[in-house]
This record gives sequence, structure tokens and C-alpha cells, in this order.
Amino acid sequence: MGKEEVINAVAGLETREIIEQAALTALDQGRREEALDVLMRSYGQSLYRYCRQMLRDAALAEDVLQITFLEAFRDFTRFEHRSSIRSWLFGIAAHRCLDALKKRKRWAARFAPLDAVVEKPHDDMSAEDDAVAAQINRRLANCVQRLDPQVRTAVLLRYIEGFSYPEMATVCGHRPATLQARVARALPVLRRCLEEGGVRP
Amino acid sequence: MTRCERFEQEGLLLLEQGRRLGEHFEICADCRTARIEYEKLQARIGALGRDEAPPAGWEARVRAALERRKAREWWPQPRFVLAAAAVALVSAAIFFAPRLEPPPPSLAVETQAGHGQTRRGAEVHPDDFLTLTARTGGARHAELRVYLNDAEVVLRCSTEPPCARDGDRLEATLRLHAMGLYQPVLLLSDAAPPIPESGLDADLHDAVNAGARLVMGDEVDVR
Repeated sequence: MGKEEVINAVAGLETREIIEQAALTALDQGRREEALDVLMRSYGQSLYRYCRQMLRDAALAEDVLQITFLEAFRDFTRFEHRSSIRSWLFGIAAHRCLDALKKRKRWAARFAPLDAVVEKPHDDMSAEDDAVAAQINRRLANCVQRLDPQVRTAVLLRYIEGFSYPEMATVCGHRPATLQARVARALPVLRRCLEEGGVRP
Repeated sequence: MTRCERFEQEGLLLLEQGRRLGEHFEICADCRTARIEYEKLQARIGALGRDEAPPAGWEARVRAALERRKAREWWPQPRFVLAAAAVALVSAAIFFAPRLEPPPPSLAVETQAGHGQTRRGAEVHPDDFLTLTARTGGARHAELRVYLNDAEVVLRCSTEPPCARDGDRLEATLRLHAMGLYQPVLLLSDAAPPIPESGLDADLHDAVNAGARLVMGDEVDVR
């Protein structure tokens, strides 16, 4: 990690502490709407990004994002301060994404011909692709999508959101060692998937 | 492509565990190359969807959904306010009834922690409660069902308890007695659909063949 990345990471942590404190203060004073606004403004984009990468479906990702905040608002009084609010929100989103994936799978099995909402993988590596980086990213997103949902959850939380393993354990409800193994096993799978598409990381 | 299998089998896990790599990984040129490539891969994963933002207006939609929920929770008010509201609603209903279309069918699914239980996060546990609130869209017959693990019907009612029908609104509450996947369904038809006896897929197939329309609720995974 370079010096600039370290500075950005520290700034990110400080910002997160301010956000958490603002939300907790609002909650302690019974101002739930204000807490919700702070959290939507601060974590909405990263939660959406996570949901989008999990689901590859923009509409469904927005649905899960909304459900996440609605459930959070409903359960604010039950938040037990055992984790950060961010981890708690990601925990709700992670479970709702897995629910949405299960439902989509079951729905597709039942009404397959009627269902065509999932963004299709772009397997075409056509010469018209103008940017190599964009091509690799598309391929990589497809490869991530092929991972088992539980493994995908761990990989995205780790590398997109930068969660530590203890934080991920509170989000996913699994032991850190289990999550470490999942991520470590997923990386070669992703690498091989990229290579099969003629792409090097 | 250079590849050090030992790095993939051991080195990656050591790094994820935050531990030092052993001597082999420092000496082995393939391992060093592999490590660099995996670091690139990790950075690439971290950059996925970096510019993706939720659609405009999503926060307003969350607030609007909250307002709708609050409106539902507003009912336990002083009696005279309720009475006045009821009179106003009935008057409005009589006045507008011939002109208004019923709202479209819908099935809302909510869960509450069981008595004396404290809920942790969004997970649903045995002995929590499931509340179904349906809009029947003006259908003559409306039936709520809940299937457990696509097989067992654990709730089936129309106008009798535990269902309560009030005009276009149909509600029921169910205690989630066991772990498993609960699938709520609203069936709308002119006459009662066939009796469920063969599990979710076959039952719903029979119901659709008999002319019923289905509204699937959100599944609830009780763990």
C-alpha cells in the first residue's frame, strides 16, 4: 500500500467515525429520521455498489438497498452496538441479497421463459472493445458472478468494501477463519476464469 | 503463465490471515510473480463498479415507503379521532365507490420478533411472527397460503381465522414454528381454488389452471 493509499484509508476511517458518531447521537436522542438520512447519504452508494455486484441487476439492487434501510429504520431500537452501524447495514444487505438470489433462482426455475431481467454476462471479447481495462473489468465481473453467493459475498466485502475479517464475521455470521479460506480459495478460481477468457489480471 | 501452486494453496491463505509468508515464497521466483499478479487481481476486484451510483431519487423512495408504513401504524389514536376518521372514510368510500378502481393486488410480508425475544439484525428465528397484508384487487375469492420448504402448507385461509378480510384488505399472522424457507402466496380467483395437496409447485400449477392469479410474497428464511 502506497503512502497516498494509506492517507486515504486513514481519512476514510476518520470520516467513518464521524458518520457513526453522528448517526448514534441522533439515535440516542430519538431522531431516527435524521439518523436514517445520515446513513443513506454516507453508505447508500457503497451499499448499492455491493448489491449491484452481488446481483448484477440494477432494479433488484435498488430494491434491496431500499429494503436494507427500511429494515434498519424499523430495527434501530434493537441495534445492540456490537458492531459498527456500517457493518450492521452491510449485514442486512448481505442477507437480503442472498434472499433475492435464492428467490430469483427459484422464480427462474418456475417461470423461466417469463424471466429475463438479469443482466446477461458479456462473454463476447470482440475487437470493438476499445479499452482493455474495461474488457478485463467486464470479464472479471462475470467471473465474480459465477462464484457461489456465499463466496461472492466474502470476496466483495473484502476487496470492494475493505472489511477486515472480524468485521466480515459480524456481517456474514461466519468465523473469520472460514471467510479467510473462502476468499483465499476464490482468488485462483477468479484468476483461472479470467485466463479462460484470454485475460490476464 | 507462471504459476506456483504452493502459493495458491498456502500463500494466499497466509496473506488473508495476515501472517508472514515462509522462506520458500521469498526465494521462489514463480511465487513472487504470482503474488504480484494476485495483488493486481485484488485491486481489480476492488475497482469493480467504482462509479456505480444508485438511481436518482432512491432516498426519496425510501422516505416515501417509510411514510406509508407510518400511516399504517397511525391507527392506535384516541377513540374520537378514530371515530371521526372512520366517518370520513365511510363517507368518502360511499361517495367515491362507483368511480374508484381497487388498488392492484399486492402481498406485503413483515416479520416481528417472538414474544420476549430480542431480534439481532435482520435474521428471523423460530417463534418469530410473520404478518401478511394483502390487497385483493377486488377479487371475489382471495386466499392466503404459506408453504414451508415448498412442501408443507402451514397457513391457508380466506375469510376465516387466522385470516381477517376487510373489504379489499386481507391479513393473517403466523407463528414461524420451525426453521426453513417460508413462501407466502396470495391466490385470487372467482371461486375457491383446488385444495392444496401436492406441494408448492404442483398446487400453484393447479390453481393457475383453475383460473387463479398468484401474487408471490417475499420468502422468509427462518434460521
